[in-house]
Amino acid sequence: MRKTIFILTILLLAVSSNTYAGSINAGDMFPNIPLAGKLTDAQKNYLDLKGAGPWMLQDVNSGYIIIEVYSMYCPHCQKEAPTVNSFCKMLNESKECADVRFLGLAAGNTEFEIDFFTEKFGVKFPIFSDPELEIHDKIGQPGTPHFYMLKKDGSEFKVLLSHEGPFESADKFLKTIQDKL
Amino acid sequence: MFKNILCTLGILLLTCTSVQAKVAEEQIYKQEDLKPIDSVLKVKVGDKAPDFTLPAVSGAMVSLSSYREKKNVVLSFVPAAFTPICSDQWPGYNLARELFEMNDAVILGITTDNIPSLHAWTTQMGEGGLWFPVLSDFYPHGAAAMEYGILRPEGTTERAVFIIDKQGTLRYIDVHNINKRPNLGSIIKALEKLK
Repeated sequence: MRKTIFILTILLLAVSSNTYAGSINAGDMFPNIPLAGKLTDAQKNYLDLKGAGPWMLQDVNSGYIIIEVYSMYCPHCQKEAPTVNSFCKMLNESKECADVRFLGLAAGNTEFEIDFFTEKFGVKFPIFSDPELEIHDKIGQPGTPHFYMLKKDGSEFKVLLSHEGPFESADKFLKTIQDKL
Repeated sequence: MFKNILCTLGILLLTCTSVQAKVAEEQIYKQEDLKPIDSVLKVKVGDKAPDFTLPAVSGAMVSLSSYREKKNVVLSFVPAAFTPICSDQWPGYNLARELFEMNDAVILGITTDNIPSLHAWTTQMGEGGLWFPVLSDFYPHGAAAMEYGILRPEGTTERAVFIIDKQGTLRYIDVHNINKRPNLGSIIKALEKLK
């Protein structure tokens, strides 16, 4: 009887760990995803990217990257867009965060939809496209918005923070980021 | 001791069930791609758009013909309330209100759900709900969708966009793969051509 319970417990644990198989959490290495999009020269300089792209994540030359996975169609992302802009401004003004870059990944959005969102909310940070959700699949299909803070680890990037949903406020999120440096 | 083991196992079972409930739901969505199109379209570009009168979530009755000579109309049929793609398609159109209005167009959002379901669903789509009427083609079930030839065998509609000009003529039809969201850019470009 006890043997049966033990086997059942092991099976349950195995099943429950499988349910997390696709998600990317703190401590994981972040996949070297392709980055494609229409970037201004200033945005390319910001990420230290050369040429017309597409690039790979590991081409971004910085010690830390924050990625926001969002969608124009997501009401939470729409509502949070002005706060994300404020956060980016604070991030770029923070001397402590001089080696942190911020970029957006538009899950399931076309170039037209990215342009509309950018114009509507006056977004300044670089946004990369993923119209067929291929990258979204590769990173475990996070809900939107989802924020990843990555740290350079050799040639790869390691996840320091995986935050699902809108953040509480720009300054509190900046503090969270600064505490991770 | 044996009792303790049983209790622990019970807690483990509960934990696993709740984790799986959420994740399994997402997996089912991913795995259950529907047949992209499962109906036979009955209209074509250039036809007069079949008229209909349907109840709106607001309580009003809305007729397509009431927009004649006044507004271009975008009919956005979506399969069902509380389903993943449908649940973000209209919030996107909600955000893009000015793109529709600058082309003198109104959207009529339609599903075969009943009014209470549509009310519960659309009030979650943003503060103040949606700027465009949401209509219920619930009873007689899918009658309007059937006129256009987009009622699927399971009783939901296709994910379809029809653009109708101020003369009541169909100018654009996109019966889209039900598993994917139509491109907003294509809709706006089609509206711009009506000018």
